[in-house]
Amino acid sequence: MSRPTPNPHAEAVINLVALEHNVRSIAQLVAPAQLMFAVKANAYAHGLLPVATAGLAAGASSLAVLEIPAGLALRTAGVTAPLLAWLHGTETDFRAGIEADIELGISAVWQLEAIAASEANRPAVVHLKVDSGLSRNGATIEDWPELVRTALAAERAGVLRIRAAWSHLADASVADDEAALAAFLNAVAVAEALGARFELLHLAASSAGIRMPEARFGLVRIGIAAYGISPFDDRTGAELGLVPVMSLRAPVIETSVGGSRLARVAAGFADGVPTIGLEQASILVNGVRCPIASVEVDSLLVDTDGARVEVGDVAIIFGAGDEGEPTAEEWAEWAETIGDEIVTSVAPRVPRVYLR
Amino acid sequence: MATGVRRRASIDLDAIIANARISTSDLSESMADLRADAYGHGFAPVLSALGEAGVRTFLASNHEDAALVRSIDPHMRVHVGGSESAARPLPSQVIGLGLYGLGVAPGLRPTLRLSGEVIAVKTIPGGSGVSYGYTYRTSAPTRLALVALGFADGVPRVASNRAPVLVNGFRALVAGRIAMDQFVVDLGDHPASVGDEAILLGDASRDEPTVEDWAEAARVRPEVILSGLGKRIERAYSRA
Repeated sequence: MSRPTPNPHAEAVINLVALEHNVRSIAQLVAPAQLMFAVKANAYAHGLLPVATAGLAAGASSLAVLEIPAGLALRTAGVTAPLLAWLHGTETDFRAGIEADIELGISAVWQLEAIAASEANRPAVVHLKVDSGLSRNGATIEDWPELVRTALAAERAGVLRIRAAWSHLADASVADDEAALAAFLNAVAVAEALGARFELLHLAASSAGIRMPEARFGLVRIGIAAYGISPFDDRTGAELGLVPVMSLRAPVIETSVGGSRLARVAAGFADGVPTIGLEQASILVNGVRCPIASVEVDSLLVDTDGARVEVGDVAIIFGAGDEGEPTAEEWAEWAETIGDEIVTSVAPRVPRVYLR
Repeated sequence: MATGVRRRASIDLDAIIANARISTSDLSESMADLRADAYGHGFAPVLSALGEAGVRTFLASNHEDAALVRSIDPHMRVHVGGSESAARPLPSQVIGLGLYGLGVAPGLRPTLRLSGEVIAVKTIPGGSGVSYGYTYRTSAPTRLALVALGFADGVPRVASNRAPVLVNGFRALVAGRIAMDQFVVDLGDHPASVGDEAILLGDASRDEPTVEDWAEAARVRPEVILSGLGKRIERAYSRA
């Protein structure tokens, strides 16, 4: 039995070249629509600032930040691109967001009231959101006219400027998304009849942005596809020409564990390695796929049958797939989830290493 | 720092100390397991509370955490985990997951309460699909609450349509897929308001959903759920 190495840990390698490739190729696909790059949840756990910067350099014209504090972090770091935040709570500091020129997705009248009460030193720029069937955020079809009327009154009062109307799709089926598109267009017509004028409409995220050209309008919001992961169940990222951006690696820290052919790798569930679907899961150790035997808090055990493994060798838990390692999509299938959750679950304690 | 939506883990340091006393007969001769950032509770506050209660030896996930132990009190000892099977001289007693209220010992109390903010409440018709893929459909006209927590916060997506949530005194299951930053609860005709607290992990003795409920719904161990709680969740500590 070998002795454990002194300070081994997992690391997440973030391939910014792959990210730029994905953003550039999707930008070409959706043109002339603009590409808004979704960097919510710390850029899907890839690291907000380096990823946002790379995405803008590769052709994104704006960033979707989810919430005002994330937008403020980008502004503090010097990012001047348009930002959109749409997840707001009762304690949200609207004034800080408006004064940092963060555009606001607005779903309800109480949010317009909070903007009016914020006493910001400039008008808010708002994107009015209608619920086209997802039943999450956005005004229902019934509540939509009141939202539009209240926004128009606030616009006349100089409190805000209505820039866009938008919605979000359920990606349930092409037919469901087409029904949602019709509901969205109907809501836009209702708003225009009430006097609203929209400079911009947006509806599609990765899925519809790729498969539904009529949903692209002036802007497509791209998240998961930019990170190299397919938004579809039946097509891989590779089949779409995307390259996975994140790779999770960790060193082997012990071989012949307890005299067996198991080896210990320094990544556990506290690093974000899933614990579901392990009977199918395998990772790459020295070019060989090794089945996972168990996942503990700080480490996992692999069966090294057939592989020559030494302490210090690097295991690839997931990556681009080009060396034979599993992708986040493959893990998602094992763990009964989507690639989005596999990458966002990689823990903050895992250092991000940026590759160019 | 400007405020955004509320995502809160309220951590009861008294409960952690009480659980430690239940788990061992002698705190000073036991080693407390603080791996995984004290299983999502936050390493430093838990270390300091247990240190004051008399625990002298700790198990940490990494050398950064271990260095913190030595900086607080050079007389405290710390072992670095990562190699669970390695044989090494350790204190005779280990206070493990019981610290966090997990396990069957009588008297253990929950130590972490996770709540999210209701950020939208809406009434929708029967037959409406809810969240991605429309895996949930409303059976009648109903009220939905949107909660601002998702799998990026460590709320496991595999528990979609299965795990319980308490909103404004009403216990319901998550309706539809848990998304990255949000999920939906079907309230029926029960009232709720924007700003209400939605409790995911709480105290069974107060009829709240628990980490064990979520672990069962997600088919993972409770400590996996606790370790996965994300950085966007603010930790708030209470101590008598």
